[in-house]
Amino acid sequence: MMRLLPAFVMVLVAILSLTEAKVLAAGRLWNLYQEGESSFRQANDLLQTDPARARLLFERAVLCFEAVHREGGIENGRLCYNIGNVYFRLGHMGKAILNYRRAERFIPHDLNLQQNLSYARSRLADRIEPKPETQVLRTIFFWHYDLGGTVRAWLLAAAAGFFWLAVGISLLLRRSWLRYLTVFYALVCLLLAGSVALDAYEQAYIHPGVILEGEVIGRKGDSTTFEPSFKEPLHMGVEFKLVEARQGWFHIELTDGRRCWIPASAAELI
Amino acid sequence: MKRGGISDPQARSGIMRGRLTAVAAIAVFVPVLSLLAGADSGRWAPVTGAAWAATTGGLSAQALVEKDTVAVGEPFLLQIRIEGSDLAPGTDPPELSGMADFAVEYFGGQSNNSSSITIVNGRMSKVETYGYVYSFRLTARKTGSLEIPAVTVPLDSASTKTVRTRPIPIRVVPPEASDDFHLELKFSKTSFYVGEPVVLSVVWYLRKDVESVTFNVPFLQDEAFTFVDPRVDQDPKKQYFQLQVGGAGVLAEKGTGSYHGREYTTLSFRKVIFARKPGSFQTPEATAASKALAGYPGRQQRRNPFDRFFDDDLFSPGRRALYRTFVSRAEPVVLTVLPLPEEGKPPTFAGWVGRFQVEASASPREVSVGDPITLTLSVSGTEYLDKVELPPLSRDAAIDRDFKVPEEMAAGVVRGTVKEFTQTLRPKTAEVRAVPAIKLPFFNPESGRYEIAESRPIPLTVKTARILTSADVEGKSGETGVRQSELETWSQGIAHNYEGPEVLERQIFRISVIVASPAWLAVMVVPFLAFVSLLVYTRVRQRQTADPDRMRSRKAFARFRKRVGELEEEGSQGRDGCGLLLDAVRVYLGDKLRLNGTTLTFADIEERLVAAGIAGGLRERLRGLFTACEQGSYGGMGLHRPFEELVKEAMAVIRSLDRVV
Repeated sequence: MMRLLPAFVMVLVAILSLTEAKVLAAGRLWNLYQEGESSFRQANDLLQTDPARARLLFERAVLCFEAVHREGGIENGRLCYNIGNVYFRLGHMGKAILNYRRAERFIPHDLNLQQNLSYARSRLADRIEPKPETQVLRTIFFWHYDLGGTVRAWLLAAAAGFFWLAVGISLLLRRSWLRYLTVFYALVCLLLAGSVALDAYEQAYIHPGVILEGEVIGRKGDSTTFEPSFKEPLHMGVEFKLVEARQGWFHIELTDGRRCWIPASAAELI
Repeated sequence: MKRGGISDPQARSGIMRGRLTAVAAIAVFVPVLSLLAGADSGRWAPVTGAAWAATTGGLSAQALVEKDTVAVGEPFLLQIRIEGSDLAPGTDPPELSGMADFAVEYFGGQSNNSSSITIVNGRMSKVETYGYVYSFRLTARKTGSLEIPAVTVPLDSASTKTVRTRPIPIRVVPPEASDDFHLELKFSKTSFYVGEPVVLSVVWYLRKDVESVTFNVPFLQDEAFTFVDPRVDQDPKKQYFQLQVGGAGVLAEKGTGSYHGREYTTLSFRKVIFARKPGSFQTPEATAASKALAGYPGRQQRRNPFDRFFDDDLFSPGRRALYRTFVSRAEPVVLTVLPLPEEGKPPTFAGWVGRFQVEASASPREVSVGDPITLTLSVSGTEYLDKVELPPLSRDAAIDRDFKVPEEMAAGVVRGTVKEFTQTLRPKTAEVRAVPAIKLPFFNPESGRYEIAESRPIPLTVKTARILTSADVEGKSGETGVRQSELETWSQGIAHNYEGPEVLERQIFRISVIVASPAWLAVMVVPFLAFVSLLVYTRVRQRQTADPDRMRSRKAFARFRKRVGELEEEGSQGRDGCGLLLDAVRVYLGDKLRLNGTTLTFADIEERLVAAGIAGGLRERLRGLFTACEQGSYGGMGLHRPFEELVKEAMAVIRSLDRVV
């Protein structure tokens, strides 16, 4: 037992030092965040009277918020939403939409987020209509699109609990309505489990992204020597799904299902 | 690598006190920076320790250059490294505008933080280093022994804390002359008005294989002008290259051209320039520094200059090409920027210079008072419309009289050769009959006077708005009511930021993380386990209810052992003892064979024992046990052997029986 004591003390010291470092990091993050918030507020006040100074303050705000996000490792929907707002003020619709989409993963039903994302999309140069079948799927499988992933996961757990409860009670009581209830919960479980599994698949294998360059030519291949895919170039803020990534190039699918290649440096994945 | 160490005045007083710190810094930072320098570029020479002797308060700054001898126009990298502190957000880069002998381009900065934990003989030590690196590209403007002066580096956004680097001497030699390379700046016009678009073409002529080229066009940094990338309609038959010029990417086109009567291969790119102020300007010297193939030892040279552009010696081992650096310089060009005349300038002039046409469309055209009408204005004419912005329509007296015009307006969008602006208008009265002609003044540089681009009026039908009041609902429409306006949602603009500590909470969106959480798994598994327990319980109960003797049979031996134990504890002997033991044996056999055990004799069960496959020896022992107990209990002749022995025999016989039955 005595031989284990030094090792135990060492582990304890390591845990204590890590805890201390975490506390310090949290304090620094909070200061950074507050500085960003203050810069954003000042910039809004100066937007009409001194646009140049306001722009500098917006840039400082976004630096602070992004430092909290990247260096602090904070993944938070409201933080991403705030970053999107600052980029919107800076006129960078691509980065605004990118950050709104990042926020959407955490707070999909936030009304402010939906409004801002919709408004930012309305200000884009390109109008790309989603595929009609996407709208049909959205209507039929409404629970998959209208409910957040976390909500669906917990609903699945609750439905599974009620299913087992109903099956358990039917062991003790022979009632026909209990049988119908069991079948109902089984169906709910199946639908939710399918939806959750689809989410897990999409999160693992489907990578959406946003074009950040002001203008980029979508090509038929992964080189500038390939001909353009469209008569017009794609503009900042266009959303896509990544089909394939090759060295320096993305093969992307637009929301209307059309595909093209763009330089990887012109876009960022969500 | 050349370097200049810190010369911070605050540092000097602490030099002696910081000696140990300095030694530690040499030991730790020198190898780290050597590695960093090596990682940045293979061309950076290794760092020696002497320059790192100056540190103070944990902070140090160092300037490093790529090479100490360069040719005029040949760009080289300058890095300024801060060690011991990360920079606060919003800190500006060091000011290098005072370097008259060099053209400077800022290449950005990045954090250089790291931490490491070392455990040696059970002792844990943690080392955290903070730093920041700024990168610049410098191009010497003249020959001679020049000096990169000491640079003051701010450490916070308010510049209250600074450190200074040491000056670095640089030897600048004349560039190697070659008729194989030439650079030319061509302007579509050299005399033009403020705001007039002029195309600048940068053309590089070459007749040799090149490995790489670096353009330095300081004119593109001139704040008297703004620069826009023109639309490039790429010809699939031509070759294009993405180059970095002035910190931004440009698309350069490969072609052929003639320079002073000789044919060359060309690499060219274009920029559209707009002058911000009038005056006479001379373009600063632009250069293109290239590493050109001087030949292969013993091999024939290639003909196409671009064959080696992105080539890699990795694929031709042992065949090292010979490269030399050549710098081609462009002749300066004098530009005359004329001011826009004040005479005849319309009050609504918004700075449009060129020739413009305006077309307008509106939708819907049948509206009620206060309803929104989307007015789309299409501006065309000049090729470069990126800088064209629409002046507020409310400045037009006719529009301001008839329509409510919101202050916010969507940004214009360039579609091909047309820039489209959209603006919402709301008619103020039912007397409005049309959107009047939109008049947008511009300056025509060809005629030298102001002209007006005018759209056609758009007829409208505006009806009086019918407002449903509470009086209408109550059937009192004849009474005088208060005129109300409908509260409409304004869809423009963005919503507020979120504040508070919840913005810094760590959230999870990945389903895989949620379904792997103990809470979710518990909610999923606990009801299932409860169901399984209930199922087992009900099954057991069902079996017990269906065959109650089965449980009696299974527990027969346990009950027998218990009764024998009680018999021993009570110390029963003789007649009573034999009677109780016989009862215990009978009850056991009754339970086991599902019979009434209280009156059983050996004869009653013998057939059943045979049917159950009990061996003859065991049957005889059981018969003996019955006989002995009955004799002891009813015979009155006493026992032939001690009672304890009889109990042991009973225990052994019943145990053997229990194994078989």
